Amino acid sequence: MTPRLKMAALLPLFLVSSSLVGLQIALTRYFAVAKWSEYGYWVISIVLAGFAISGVVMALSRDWFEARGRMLLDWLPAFLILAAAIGFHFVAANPFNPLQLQNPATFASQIWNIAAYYVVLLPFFFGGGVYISLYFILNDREIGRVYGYDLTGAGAGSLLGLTLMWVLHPFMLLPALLVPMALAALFTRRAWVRPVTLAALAAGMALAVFASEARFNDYKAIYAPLNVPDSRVVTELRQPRGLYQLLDNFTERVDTDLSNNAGMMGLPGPPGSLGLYRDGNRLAAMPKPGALDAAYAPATLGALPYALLERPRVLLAGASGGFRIAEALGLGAASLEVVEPEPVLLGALREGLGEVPAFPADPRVRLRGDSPIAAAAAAGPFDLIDISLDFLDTAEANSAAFATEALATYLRALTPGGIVSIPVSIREFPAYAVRMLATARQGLLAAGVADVPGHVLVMRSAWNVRILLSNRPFDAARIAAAQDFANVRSFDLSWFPGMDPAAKRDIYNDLPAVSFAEGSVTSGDGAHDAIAAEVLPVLRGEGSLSVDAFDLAPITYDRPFFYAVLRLAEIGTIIRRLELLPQAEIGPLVNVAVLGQAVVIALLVLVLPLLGGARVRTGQGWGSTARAVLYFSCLGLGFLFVEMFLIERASFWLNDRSSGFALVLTGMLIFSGLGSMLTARYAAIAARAALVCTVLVTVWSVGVLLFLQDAMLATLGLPWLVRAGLVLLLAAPVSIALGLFFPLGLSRVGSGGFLPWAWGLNGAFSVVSTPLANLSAIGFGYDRVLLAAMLLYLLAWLSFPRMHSGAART
Amino acid sequence: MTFSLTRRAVLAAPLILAARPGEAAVNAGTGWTRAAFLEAMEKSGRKMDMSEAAFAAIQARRPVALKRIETYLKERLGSADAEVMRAFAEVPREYFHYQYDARAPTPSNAYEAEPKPWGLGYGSALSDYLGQAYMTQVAKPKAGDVTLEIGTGSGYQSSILSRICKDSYSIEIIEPLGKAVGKIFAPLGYDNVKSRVGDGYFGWPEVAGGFDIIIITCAAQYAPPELFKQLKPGGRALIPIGQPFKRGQFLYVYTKDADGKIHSRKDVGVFFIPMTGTMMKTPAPKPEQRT
Repeated sequence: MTPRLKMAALLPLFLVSSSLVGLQIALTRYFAVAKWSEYGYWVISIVLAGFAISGVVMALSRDWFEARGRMLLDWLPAFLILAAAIGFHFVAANPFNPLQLQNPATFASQIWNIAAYYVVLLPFFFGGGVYISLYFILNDREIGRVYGYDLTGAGAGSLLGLTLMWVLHPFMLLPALLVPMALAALFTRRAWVRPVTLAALAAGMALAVFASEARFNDYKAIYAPLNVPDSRVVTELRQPRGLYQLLDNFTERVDTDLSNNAGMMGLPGPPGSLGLYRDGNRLAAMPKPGALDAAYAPATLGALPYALLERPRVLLAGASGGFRIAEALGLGAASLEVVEPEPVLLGALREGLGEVPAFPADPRVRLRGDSPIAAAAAAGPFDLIDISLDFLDTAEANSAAFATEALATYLRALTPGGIVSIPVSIREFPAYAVRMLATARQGLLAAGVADVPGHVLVMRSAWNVRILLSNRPFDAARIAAAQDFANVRSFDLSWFPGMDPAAKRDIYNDLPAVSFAEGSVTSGDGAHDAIAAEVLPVLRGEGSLSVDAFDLAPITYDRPFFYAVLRLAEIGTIIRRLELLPQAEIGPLVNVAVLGQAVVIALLVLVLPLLGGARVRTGQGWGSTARAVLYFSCLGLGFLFVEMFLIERASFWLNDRSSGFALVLTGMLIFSGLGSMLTARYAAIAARAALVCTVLVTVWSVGVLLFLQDAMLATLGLPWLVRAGLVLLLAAPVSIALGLFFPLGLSRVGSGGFLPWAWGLNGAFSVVSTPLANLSAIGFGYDRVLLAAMLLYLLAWLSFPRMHSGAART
Repeated sequence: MTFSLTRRAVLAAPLILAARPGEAAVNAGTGWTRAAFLEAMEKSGRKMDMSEAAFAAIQARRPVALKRIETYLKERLGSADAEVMRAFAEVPREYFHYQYDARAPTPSNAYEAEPKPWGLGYGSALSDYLGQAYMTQVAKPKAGDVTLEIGTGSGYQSSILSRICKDSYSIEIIEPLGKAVGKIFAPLGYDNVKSRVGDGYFGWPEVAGGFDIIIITCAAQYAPPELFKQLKPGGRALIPIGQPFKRGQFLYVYTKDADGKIHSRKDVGVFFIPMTGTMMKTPAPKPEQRT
């Protein structure tokens, strides 16, 4: 019997795996801060194919690599350190300007810049793939333990990367994460490896620290405020959820939807403020020291519900740095339950931040860090549930607060005649308001309201819409009050019960309807109100012109997408209108671009190894090889489908995308690594073990689909730590099972040329899996993504390799 | 208030006529030579060299670009305003192609066949000339108007307006860009362009009587109330929306009525062809697609 590998023999793998994942996280952070996160996802997803390509190369040249395996394993860490540092240097020097991708006249040069990213990063990811693949080849009798150390190392690397984000600037993460890679050299006895690796580390760190050109893109929101005269950074916070910078400069003002008649109303404009930025994107205006002045509040569109209610008891979602609290109090709120789920913003309200004072203690105000959904259920009833204009974009998980189910919860938490006030920006795309109206209809129906149009009021400025929902019909007195409110402020009432949208009326803010497909716009015939023309059919559930043009399906917990309205099947129209698209619509398009490339790469990984002929077969003919190919492809797709589903559900449960992502990513890697280490115990009964794992995945998936939503809603009020523990408890069993599939399969296909091919297939289909899961979730919801994962694992089991270990060596 | 403004306008009329751009101002249509170009570049602190052939190549593209502008304006707005066309003919666009952060002149990019925005450094871009022509005509500039631009950028837009209007004021918020661009108007003889670096939120309150046209191209979370105070009744305020590297932008056009109330209009004509309201409001048998 082959002697069991010592831990010291596997620790280099653990260290290199941890460094590989850590560096991947560091690159992701670089792109998120310096450019925009979706482009980091684009580049890194594709270069991850370097892993898959390494599998193909090794499948075709297995003997060559095996003969030089030990030597390569010793020297590769030094190579990887230099490849990462040099790659990062050129990444930072790349003049890529993603904004130019939206212009057909400037598009081409940016494609070359993206290609340059691939070129400079591929050596690092390819080398990483070679390193791990070599471990499999050289230790093919202990695939389970090798895979286990690989996965747990990856989990540890993710944990290390996330931990370092509390300390280091995002641009300094990469040099720090080269260290574990260098530590791998401690375990070799080959002459010169240690000093050379140490020298590579010193050179790599020097290059990444002292010669780096990493900086914010000139066109990010933070660039101008950072570069106006007398601008200063008041304070900086480094966290896994982002790099927070508090700025003091003359451009900072309260963000609000202010009437253009504020001066005529005798009201001052919003005061100057400090500005809080996260990863270079503006998060909120923050008050300067001194009294929090919200005298401008009556001129805002958000003041509308306060004009219709007497001293309301308010649930306020989003404090806008404290300004919205001051606005609500100034507008007559009797009491305020203030929800601010963004931890830094909540911390600023409670304890202050830099020069930002804490919100002054007030017996009328209570601050909370949970979601408005939990707060509505726990602390109601309220006369008004008021969502702030910036609430949607301050945290990714906040989009659930706009879902059908959430609206129904709010409506049930209202006193009779109470109001829910929902903001939508229409500055670029009015279609978002139509989606919100469709969601409002479903929310009202779910809350038991039959006459939907009678319970809705819609008012807008040039740039924003406020949709008011009530559990009682809006009566004539309220409608008249709303009309007066609009007239004084040059706002437009786009819908009130009984309104005839076709009737002639004065419109202050001309908003013509446009045809996205035809490229035409209404003109002549006076001013237009494109929103007013669509409200009634949408509230009645009838087709509308926007509904036909865009995917405006109501937002739900299962499809919590406020944006992403493009019908991706009509890609020709989308490309023709590329210049129109707001930034929020770019994410799905990036997924399409990544998916297209990933599919091509996966096909290459499927086909190219066939050039190796019999060398890459599993050993029992092409039929069984085809089964094995299907098996490992399914695993590559399925694992990430489960992971994407869990990240989304954890984000809702914890009401925070960052911690949901970190917990699920790290937890799944470590648990599946532990599962993988169990392989040796079940190698003799591999088929039965695979069956048990399949049953476990199926039962777990069905249980999750049936009960998880209710369980999450029932436990939203529990402390964060308890909910985080529940997330890990949920992820553990399925992750352990998922960790077994890959080594169990490998134990059956032996150690021939197929082994690296299996590794490549797993990698290639993992790259396909992420954009596919994202697009499937947008189109069909996350439940379907999990259902698809379950079916993939069933298919994997059906194609489970049938031959015995060692049979394939050629 | 309205009376005093009107009276001031009447009193100022002779001055306005006298203040039309003088003969000293550069006119790219006549007498604009390589030597004049290089001299102006040097005087503006952007010394460079360029061969006669390269300069001639730019000049050869200019009439084609002007024709392109004329066609575009006719297609989008029904007509090409003669004053707008004159301004675009007079202002040498190559003078404004410059990478300020890299101190690199890029005049050879001017009058490109496929109009597009060009980066200037410091987070600013020179918009494509068709989009600029569109915005200029939508702003309806007239002789005697006083204009204010928040976000000087390349200085090209203010220069264009200065060829039509009485005075063009411009405020840039980014210091190094604003300081550098502030030097480029005098060498062209555009002495009715006044620029400074600073906060645009409060406009330029020292200008008595306010502005007929205000263009706000930077850092606007909303239309600042102070700017509306400085907008004359009947005046137009324009806010382009959208990232700067699109070939055009949505324009929000604000007008101030006689009562001082503000009305707005979303102008998407850079992207969309006008159709009559009736056609768009009546659902066709097969529904159209709309935002």
